Parts: sequence; C-alpha cells; structure tokens
Amino acid sequence: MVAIVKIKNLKKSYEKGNIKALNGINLEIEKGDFVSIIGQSGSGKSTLLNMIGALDTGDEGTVEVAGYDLTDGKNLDVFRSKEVGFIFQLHNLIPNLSVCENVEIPMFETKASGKERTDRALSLLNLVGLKEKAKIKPTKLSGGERQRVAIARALANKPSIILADEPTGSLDSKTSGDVLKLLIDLHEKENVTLIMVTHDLNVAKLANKQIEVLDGQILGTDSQK
Amino acid sequence: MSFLTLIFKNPFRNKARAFLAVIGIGIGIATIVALGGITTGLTQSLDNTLHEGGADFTVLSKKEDSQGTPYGTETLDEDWLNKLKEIPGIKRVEGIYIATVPVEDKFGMVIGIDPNNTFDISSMDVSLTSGQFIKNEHEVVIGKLKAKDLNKKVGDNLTIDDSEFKIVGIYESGDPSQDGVMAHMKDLQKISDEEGKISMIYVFADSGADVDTITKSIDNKYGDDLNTITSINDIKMVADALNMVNGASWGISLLAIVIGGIGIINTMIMSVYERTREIGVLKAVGWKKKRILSMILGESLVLTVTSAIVGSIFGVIAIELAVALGILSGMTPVFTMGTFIQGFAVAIIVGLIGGLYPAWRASRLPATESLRYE
Ligand SMILES: Nc1ncnc2c1ncn2[C@@H]1O[C@H](COP(=O)(O)OP(=O)(O)O)[C@@H](O)[C@H]1O
Ligand SMILES: [Mg+2]
Repeated sequence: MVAIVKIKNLKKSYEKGNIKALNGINLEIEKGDFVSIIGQSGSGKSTLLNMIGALDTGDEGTVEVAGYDLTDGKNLDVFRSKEVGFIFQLHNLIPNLSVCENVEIPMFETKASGKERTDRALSLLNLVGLKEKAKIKPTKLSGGERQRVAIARALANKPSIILADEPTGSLDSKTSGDVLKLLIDLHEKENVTLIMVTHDLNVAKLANKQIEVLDGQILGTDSQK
Repeated sequence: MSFLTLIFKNPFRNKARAFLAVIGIGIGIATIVALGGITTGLTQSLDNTLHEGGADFTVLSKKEDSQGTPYGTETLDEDWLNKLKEIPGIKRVEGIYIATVPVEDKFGMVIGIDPNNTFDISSMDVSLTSGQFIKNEHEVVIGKLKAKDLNKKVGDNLTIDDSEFKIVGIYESGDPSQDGVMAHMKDLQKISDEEGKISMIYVFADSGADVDTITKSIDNKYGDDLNTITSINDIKMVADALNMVNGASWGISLLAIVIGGIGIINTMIMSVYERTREIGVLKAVGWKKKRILSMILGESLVLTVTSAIVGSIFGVIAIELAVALGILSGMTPVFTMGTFIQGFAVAIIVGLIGGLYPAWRASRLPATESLRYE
C-alpha cells in the first residue's frame, strides 16, 4: 500500500514553547483511506490536520503528503491548491457571493476559464444535491446546506486528500448524519483520501481507522475493517 | 465569476463604509475638478478678451504691467493708434476705453468703443438680439443678462454717472463676462474726465505677417511706454494668479492624496480585519499571497476610482450650479480632459498608496491563526 501522508517526529509548540501542541507525531496514512483523528479539545487534532494540509509548518520533524515535502515550507500554496480540500467546523463561505461563486473560489489558482469554473462548480453542487440553490446567497441556506457547499468547494480542484476539521461540530444529529453520509459517499465514489477530526466517538467509528491523540502525541491506532 | 467581478463586489459589502470612503476621497477630487474648471474657464475667457474680434495681440500701457491690472486703470493717448499703424505688418488697430462707472445705482464696467472704427461685430462672440449697434454719442447697447437684471429694453434710458443714455440694442454673448454695457468711447471718456485716452489697443496684423516680428519691433521702438500682449501669460499679474491657483490645485491634490490615503488605509485595514477568517480560507484553498494582495489592492482602487467618478460629476455640477445661481457670475467654466486626468491620477495614487499596506498585511496573515480568529 502507498502512504499518502508520512509524518516523522513532528513537533510544534506555541507561546514560546509553553504549549506543546504536537509533541513527536509519527504517522502514515494510506492513499484512499478514511481515517478519523479523535481526542479531547486542545489535544492537538487541528494542529496536526493543519500540518497535513500545509497551513502551517512544524518546528521539528518531517511531513510528506502526496509526494510533496512540506517540511521546508516552500510552494505550500501550490500543494494546497492541487492536493487538498479543507472543510472546517464553520463553513466559512463568503456571504456576498452566490453559492456557485463560493465553489469557484479555489479554481482561481488553476488555468480553468470562467465558464469552466462555473460549469465545474455547478456539477459539484449537483453532486452535493444543491444545484437548485446555486444562484442564492449562502446566508439563505440552512447549516447543513452550507456545509454541503463547503464540501463542494473542497472538491473544486479534484484534491487527492480531504481534510475535515469537525465538519459536523455545529450541526444537529440528523443533519450531521446526512453530511457525514455525503462525505463518505464522495470519499468512496471519487476514491479520495479522507481525514476527519472529531471529538465524537460515534462519528470517529465511521472511519476505517481511528487515531487517538492526547497532549500532542498519538495514543493509539484502531483499525475497524 | 471572474477575479475582476470579485474585486468589484467586495468593497461594497459594507455599504456605509464604502460610502464614507467614496465621499471622503470624492470631495478632494471634486475640488480638483472644480478648480480646474474655473481656471481653464478664466484663462480662456481672458484669452478671448485679448484677441477680441480676431485681434492678433493687444497693446497696453507699460505702467499697467507694473501695477498689475490687465485693463482700465492706466490709459494711453489716442495718438498711439496712429503711431502703431505705421509699423510694417500691422493692418488695423482699434482702441477701446474701459471704465468702471456708476450704472443706474451700482458701479459697473462699461466698454467704450468707437463706432466708426470698431470690430466687425460678427467676428466677436457677441450678437445683437434686438435693436441695432451704437452709431452716435449718447447711445448704448447692453447685454441680455444685464437687461434682464436692470429690467430694461430697447428704447429705455440708462443712467450712467448722472447722464441719460438711450439703449439702442441688446446683445447676447456666449461668454457671460462680456455681458455688460457698451457705450460710445467719447461719452465714456467725458464721464471719466479722460478725453483722448484709451485703455487698450487691439492690433490686427496683415495676413501672412509674423506676429512675433511685429511685437518685437513694437517692444524695441516703444518698449518704454507700451506693453505687447499675445497671451495672458504676458500679463504678469494674471500669470502669477493663474500660477497660484494651479499651485493651490496641486496643493489640494497633495492634501487629497494624504488625507484620502489615510482614509483608505483605515477603510481597507478594517475590511481586512473583519475578513480575517475569510482570508484564512482563501489561503486554505490554495490562493497565493500575490492573489490576495492583488484582490485587496484592487478593492482599494475600485473605491478610489469610484470616488474619482463621483467626485468629477459633483465637481462639475457644483461649479455649473454656482454659475447658474450667480455665485460665480460672469464666467464660463471650461472642463478639459487634463483636469479629469489630474483627478483620476490622484484617485489612482490614493488607491495604490492606501491599499498597499492593508493588502500586504492581508497577504501575510498566517493561515492557521486567521482560521482560529473569532
Ligand atoms: N496559533 C496558536 N497560538 C497559540 N496556541 C495555539 C495555537 N494553535 C493551537 N494552539 C494551542 O495548541 C493546543 C492544541 O490546539 P488544537 O490543535 O487546536 O487542539 P484541538 O483541535 O485538538 O482542540 C491548544 O492548547 C491550543 O490552545
Ligand atoms: Mg480543533
């Protein structure tokens, strides 16, 4: 099996070393896998996910994702644009743009023409079941619908890996179920690696593999299937 | 959606803030455009006066220049007309006498002309709307606006100083500064106790003659007494005044750049600050620093160029309104391309200077911290 994520002895601290957010992480994730990262609030889950997505770089150790060496901090924007799709707890959609325009946002760094961007955004909205709402503003959508738009946006540049940080953290349980189902469907259909941070054990269990984090270290890995 | 569309949409998300920014910079631009319209208008109207009836240049008393006033106060003897006629290349000379005298109950400028030797009225920016032109002494013609102002019509009497004059005609002028009273030169000289004196001489050169050579020979021969004026820049005081207004206009431009720049920095920093999370998302989806920088800089330029458009429109409207309401009476503002270019250049400089720092800040925001931002 090919590892898409290879992390060795990754350390990251904040506040002049007083907060050790990551304290020696070693981790490999297989291409096409669905992995959940679980742990208490403040345990370092988001920090780890951000390192995988090259939103930040570590103080020590090495990170290699999808063939990119992210350790030296170079070309991180290119990597993010081509390889990852982020989904956050809060949808973070731009309120004055239409749903469709929000999905187009990541495509500005690609060579796609305006029409290609719109066409792709519409087909992604179709995939998440929101084609009818393409023209309206995200403020008019429900929480679950907004998160679906965020999922469509994450898929815009055909990433090889999706990083979801508590994607259902602010949704009720019924909506959460729908959004998770959509994510898992897409992961299977598009054969994209899915890494999801959650503090909800029931959600974590949906993944093939659970990685438990505590105080910036990996406590253990649990494989379901 | 294109990147440009995005840049155009963003500045107007916070309508009140965009409005204030546009007003702030727009006032500066409006002032630049208004001043430009006034100076160009004055320059052109003075220039028309100097070349009245197609005259090639004007001759004034030398003393006039040192005193500064372009016409009126220092006079010349009528003999100069004959002396000038002798100079080779000069076809025709015409003297006029101008005085500020009591007209009805107010002081006003009256132009005294010699009806036997006057301009071809059709070549002036003046045409009679009723009656006829002055033929004899004790006759006057008055401008349309003046007639309305004084409630006079052809056949009525006009009191100048203490004498009664008959209004024989009413004229219309494209240049409101020419709308006044014209009288027979002899009458006006008598009223002012300056018989045989003229205020200025219009010189018409032979066709094909070199105006420069003619003015040089006048300067050489009569330079101690006469001053030849081919453009308003030859009148020291006018040139000085125009330079001053131009200086003021650039000063205001500079002020607009500084104040507008501070305003736009403030506006854009607020906007970036409020959109911290959003900028974090843009980084997360792979936007390069350069793109974030261009977006914010572009938004700043959209605001300032909008200000330039709004300011230019208001500048023109304000001046035209001031003229219509009589606040700026007797002048025709002229708006040239150059004035608007100055306004837009200032706006673009403000947009670039004011937008650069906020744009730079936005592009350097650390992604993770932006996303943690509440
Ligand atoms: N940018 C930052 N500045 C300071 N402290 C941070 C920063 N990011 C994370 N931390 C700290 O690092 C620790 C791990 O945070 P995080 O990875 O967000 O945890 P989790 O996602 O598991 O709740 C926490 O104590 C948090 O306060
Ligand atoms: Mg977290």
